[in-house]
Amino acid sequence: MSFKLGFLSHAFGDDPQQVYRDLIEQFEVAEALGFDGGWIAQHHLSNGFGRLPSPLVLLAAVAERTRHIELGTGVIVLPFEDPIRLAEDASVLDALSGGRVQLGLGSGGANLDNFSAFGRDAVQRQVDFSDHQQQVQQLLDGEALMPHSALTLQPPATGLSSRLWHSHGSLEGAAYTASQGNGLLLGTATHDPLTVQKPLADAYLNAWTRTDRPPKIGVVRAIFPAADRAGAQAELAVDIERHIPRLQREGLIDQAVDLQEHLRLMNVHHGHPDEVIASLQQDPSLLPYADYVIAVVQAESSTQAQILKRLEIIARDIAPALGWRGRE
Amino acid sequence: MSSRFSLGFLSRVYSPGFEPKVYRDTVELFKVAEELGFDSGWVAQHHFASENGRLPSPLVLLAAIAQRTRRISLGTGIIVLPQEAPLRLAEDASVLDLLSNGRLELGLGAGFDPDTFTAFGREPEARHRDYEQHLQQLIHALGNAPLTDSGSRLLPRAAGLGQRIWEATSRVERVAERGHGLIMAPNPHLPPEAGVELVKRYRNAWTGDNGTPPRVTRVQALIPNPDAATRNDIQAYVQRQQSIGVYKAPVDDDFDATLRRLGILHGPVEQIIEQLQQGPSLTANDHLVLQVQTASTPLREAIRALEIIREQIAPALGWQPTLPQGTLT
Repeated sequence: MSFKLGFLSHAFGDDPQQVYRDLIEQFEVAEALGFDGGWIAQHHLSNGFGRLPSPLVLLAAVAERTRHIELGTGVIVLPFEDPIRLAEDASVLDALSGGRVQLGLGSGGANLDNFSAFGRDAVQRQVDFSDHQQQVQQLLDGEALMPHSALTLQPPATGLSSRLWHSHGSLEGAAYTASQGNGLLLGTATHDPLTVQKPLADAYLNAWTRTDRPPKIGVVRAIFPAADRAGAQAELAVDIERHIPRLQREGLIDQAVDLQEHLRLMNVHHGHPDEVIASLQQDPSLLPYADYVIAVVQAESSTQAQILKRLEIIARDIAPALGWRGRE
Repeated sequence: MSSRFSLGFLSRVYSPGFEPKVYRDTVELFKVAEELGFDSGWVAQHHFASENGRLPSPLVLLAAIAQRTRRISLGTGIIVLPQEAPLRLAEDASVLDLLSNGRLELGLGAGFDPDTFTAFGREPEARHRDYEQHLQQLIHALGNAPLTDSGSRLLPRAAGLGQRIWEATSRVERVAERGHGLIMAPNPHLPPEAGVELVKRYRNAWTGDNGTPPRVTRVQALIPNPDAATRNDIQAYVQRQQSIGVYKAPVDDDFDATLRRLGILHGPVEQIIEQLQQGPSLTANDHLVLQVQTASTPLREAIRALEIIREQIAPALGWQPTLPQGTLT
């Protein structure tokens, strides 16, 4: 079974201006390698680690530098957005880019500290998510927000409403995504592929009833190929160790163990390309489900050269062995 | 070096119907304007195609334009601030400013179209209150103030963006007190001299507390040879403004009188120059920003108008293009 191949960036880095230049270059290189899409995560304020609060603004710049590659958000924190303004921005970007937008939406579970700054209540985030998502979807479908107003979205968003994705951590959320006819994004580093992600994917597929389009699942995976396993681990060691105190604090791991074990717990596929291929083939919620395989190739201290090299190895050596057929 | 003003153009991204080409044409107009030596280009924001304006997301389009240009300043003329989430606006503006190497000029206004306020779930009557509140939140965020209990701040930070805020309002003393630039346009309900008086009040109220000089952007439409299509566009515009209670002046039988009342520069070049000389005088910190399109103006006519401004009008007012580096003189 074939799938689309994408990459996802959290826009790590010290200097935001350099981070944005590097991101644009990653899209250019990925397009030349045949990647189907690039996805950018939205991170707000200075307490996080990502450096980009405005993925749609950056993707408008990317759109001018590329021709084919899909422009994804993975994800936008929907409770913080005004649904009309988001629908407008996404529709303008879609018109500018020739229909290349893939709009991934989330409820902000990883952003709980920031709700007050945006005048929102974290407790209400699932309600805000579904309210805003339904309004965005109506607007993109060309419907007015009745009874409030008879006005319809400008510019009209041709087809964009069929390119919405949700990220959810609950079975109810996965079923809700299906009820809305949208795609499901899986793959938070702390969601176990077998015990968490696989049930989410099954719940989504079981709840799908639409006949006008098929369900679709995007799976995000950390993929860090190198010349060999030791080399890949050496490149990752600093960043993994940096995460350990947070993972312990949040109760996601019981105790600090060795690097190998952390890489396994965080589901990081790494090593020689052949090892990565084998590891991805065994992943219980990846190839059996994925319509879109989305590779994370950047850790916090990764250099641009390392990122571009990983993209190249994935497109050239790894994805074809998993059944990917690049753009003609 | 001369103390010339900056020369800009404004596009309202008008089109009788929507097609993506209206955005490509706007990108093209910025490229041409930059090649001609224009210092700034500004785009207006319209929601739900109010008055045929097709761009609700000026910062998204300007991010695309930033990749196609190198030098020209990128202005918003204006963003309807009461309909924006102020912190999201601060984020988007900062990202665009970094993407464009500090070229953003952030023009803000209170808006006027009641239908769009209703759609956003806001009361049109409360727009000036909402404007003030959102402006305070925007300034707060851009000024690197803590935004959460744990002390998180806006990220990224765009150095100096707080000093590139412009306001389009008749409440000029407030603009001066805040240390912001003033955007002024002809008011059909007041005689042409009123603009000179407005600028005088603004300059008199300037405190200089933020270490910057007062600055004015004078926006005016310039249609060298209005044809039948232009005439229809302008009449439709007046009717629409009248129907929502924004235009309260008499409707003139004579089209020339309508153009004069709206402050739309037209006719022979000498006449246009004379009318521009009658306005407030412009210093090195000020912009003259000319709008050369109505709803149905084709791109080639807009380009022709920019060329006339560049070759015949602006030089007569004392403006010269900044020569690209390395140019032999």
